[in-house]
Amino acid sequence: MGLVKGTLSFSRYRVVGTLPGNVRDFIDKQIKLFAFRELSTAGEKAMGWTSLENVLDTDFEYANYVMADYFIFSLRIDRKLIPPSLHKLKVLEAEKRIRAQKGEKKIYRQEREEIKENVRLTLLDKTPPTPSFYEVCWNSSEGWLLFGSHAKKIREDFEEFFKRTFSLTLVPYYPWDMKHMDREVAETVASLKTESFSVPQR
Amino acid sequence: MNSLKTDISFLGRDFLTWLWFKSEERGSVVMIPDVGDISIAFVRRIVLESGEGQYSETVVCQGYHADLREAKAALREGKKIREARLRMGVGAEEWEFTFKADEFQFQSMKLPTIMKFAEEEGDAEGRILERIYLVETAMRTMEQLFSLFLNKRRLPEWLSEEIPRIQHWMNQ
Repeated sequence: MGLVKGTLSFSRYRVVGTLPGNVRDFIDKQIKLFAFRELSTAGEKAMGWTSLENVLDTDFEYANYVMADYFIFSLRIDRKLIPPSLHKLKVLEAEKRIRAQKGEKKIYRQEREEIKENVRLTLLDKTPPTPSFYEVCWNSSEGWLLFGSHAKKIREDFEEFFKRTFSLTLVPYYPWDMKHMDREVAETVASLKTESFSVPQR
Repeated sequence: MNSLKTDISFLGRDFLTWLWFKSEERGSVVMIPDVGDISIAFVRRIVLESGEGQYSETVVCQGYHADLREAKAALREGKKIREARLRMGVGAEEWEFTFKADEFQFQSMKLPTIMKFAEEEGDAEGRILERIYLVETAMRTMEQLFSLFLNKRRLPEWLSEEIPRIQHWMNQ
């Protein structure tokens, strides 16, 4: 997102739900419980919270993510990405080897699927994960949050993981959300239709 | 109340299209009631679109010295602004960002120059809080502009007064 330096790109949310009485203690417990943990060798994806300024800090000592009214931290997502061309090549090599061993020309569909999966697992084991970091800025007293990505898939991962961690729902923020308008304004707005600006003057 | 479930997400593009007109009505200055004058300018890049899904047609106008004449021509054809690069001034401070109308999103936001003492004293927390304050100011100002638009848009004077003014500007 760029909270520390550089330009900023972010998505906005309303945070829906009720936090327990002692907000800081609850958040401290949950953020540590769902802090980032390294990916296992056969895993494809790992997700967890880290400190904003020190990405290696997953202990959140001295509650260094609390700044005035804000909770500021990062979501780290590690993914192992196997290039499809490499996977295809290794599958072809494995099939060739097996055909030679068995002295058969044909490989049946089920066996081919098994080969594909075994090759994928072998490659996963050898592939280092690619880490990504996305900043989170949460104002719990006012119930809004900024997240450092617009990408749909990343946002879905974040929304789901945030809910799992804090038992709160994130709703994308739109100023035209009628649930958050005065009733009178909402009723007039509900009847609006999209406007053509270019029709001849009436 | 079923009517409150109506999809009015088109208001994002209507708002941004109106904002371009509003930014040129008084030479970049827009008066927000109870706030005062702020400045808004459309700079370098405008993306316009008509239709939806596979039937949509997009026009991208960009360039450092573009006067965005092509963009106005696209408006006359009935397209609306989907995203634009905006320069916004509030008081002595200036922001620049890409604004995406459909989701009311901000991208590549440049903040005003930060207070010197926070930079110099290596006060990381102070610097971050200062930057959040500046982001909040930009978001709040865009929301105030949206409220200004919505208050015009939902009243009968929209058709009798604002639309004729917009059409006059479009044809200039």
